[in-house]
Amino acid sequence: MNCEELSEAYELYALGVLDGPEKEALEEHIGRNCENCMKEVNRAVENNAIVFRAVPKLDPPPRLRSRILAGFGLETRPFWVRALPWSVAIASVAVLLLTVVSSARRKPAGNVASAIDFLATPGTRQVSFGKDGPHGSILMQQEKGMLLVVVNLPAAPSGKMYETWIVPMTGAPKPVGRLELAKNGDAVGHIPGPLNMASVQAVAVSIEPAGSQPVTPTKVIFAAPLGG
Amino acid sequence: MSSVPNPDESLIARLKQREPQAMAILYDRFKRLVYSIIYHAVREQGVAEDLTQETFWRVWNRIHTFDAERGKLEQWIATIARNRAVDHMRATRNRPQISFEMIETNASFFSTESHASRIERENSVLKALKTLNPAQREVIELAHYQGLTQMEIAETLQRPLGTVKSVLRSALKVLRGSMEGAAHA
Repeated sequence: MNCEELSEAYELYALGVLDGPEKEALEEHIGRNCENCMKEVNRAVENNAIVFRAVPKLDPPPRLRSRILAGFGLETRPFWVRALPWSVAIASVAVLLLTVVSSARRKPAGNVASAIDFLATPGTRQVSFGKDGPHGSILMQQEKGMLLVVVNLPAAPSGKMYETWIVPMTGAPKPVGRLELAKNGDAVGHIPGPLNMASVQAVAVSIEPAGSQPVTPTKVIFAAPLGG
Repeated sequence: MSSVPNPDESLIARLKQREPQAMAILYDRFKRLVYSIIYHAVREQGVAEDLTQETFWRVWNRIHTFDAERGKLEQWIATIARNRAVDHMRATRNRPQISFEMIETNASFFSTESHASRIERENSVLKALKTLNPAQREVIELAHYQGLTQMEIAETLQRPLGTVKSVLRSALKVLRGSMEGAAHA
């Protein structure tokens, strides 16, 4: 097909909805940097955006502003986080981490060092979750992943264990590993990066049969939304 | 290259410097646009809120690819919002995902037109949308906001593929004509 024959396909391609031989032909033109097709696709993207903007306008609920901006360290945070300087908060979590890991005696010292390195990395984002019962913080960093710190988590019932889950924006929750509990009821889990934080809606913890490899959560104890 | 000053330039520069406060400005400026596009597509408040959040995170994570000299922030953000809604709907309908990487690249948003001619073009499109007949409007809705391919539109509406292609292309011709007419006015 030549450019003339593709003239009605540009908008559909820019929408991502072109299929069949026309799509193959247009991609072949783009693949060889056809100047006309590149220009026409760019124009079509722009035209489509004008159509997208023609929808009736609605105001989002006011709470959405707080939820979104909390993810960037702005807006409402729990009192203890606002009251503490950031460095003190990080240090507190690091101390908790050291206490938990050493009391659990399950992880080698190298993991402690890498976790502290994770905590000290610039760009780490923090959200809090829970109030009564299990509560704590999630620290997130694009490259290093997430650190889940939970306090006040009851011991798992006999024959059961805690499993950690990533809840994506779309699709089913994904198991990311067992969450070990220290005697004092605290737990720390590291979900390794790199991580596309925009694709994760929440982190959840469930109770599962001990030693199992769950595919879907059996009983969710809590789910911590990353939006704050 | 256009000599028209770009009012978004300083905001984009601050976002590229990773200033969280710039996200508050960005959100306040574009929240209505993003939420409206997404809600129009998904029609569920909770989902629209989640996808609005995802859209702003995507803008934050991709802003380094955006060239303030050439790009038009509003169109880029509108496209990202629409694509997040389409991603979601295709996933919930078990339809194959579409790669929007190329479509969301900055080069696609190059323009030298003035603010006045852009407004004129937008008004022309809005008028043209109102002139579409119900069948044309229906297929534009399904392609633009629901992200259905021509084949999927034919299945959804239970109409022959040839008919869908013909109606969709006639509708796009009307819209394209209105934009080009405004550009040359």
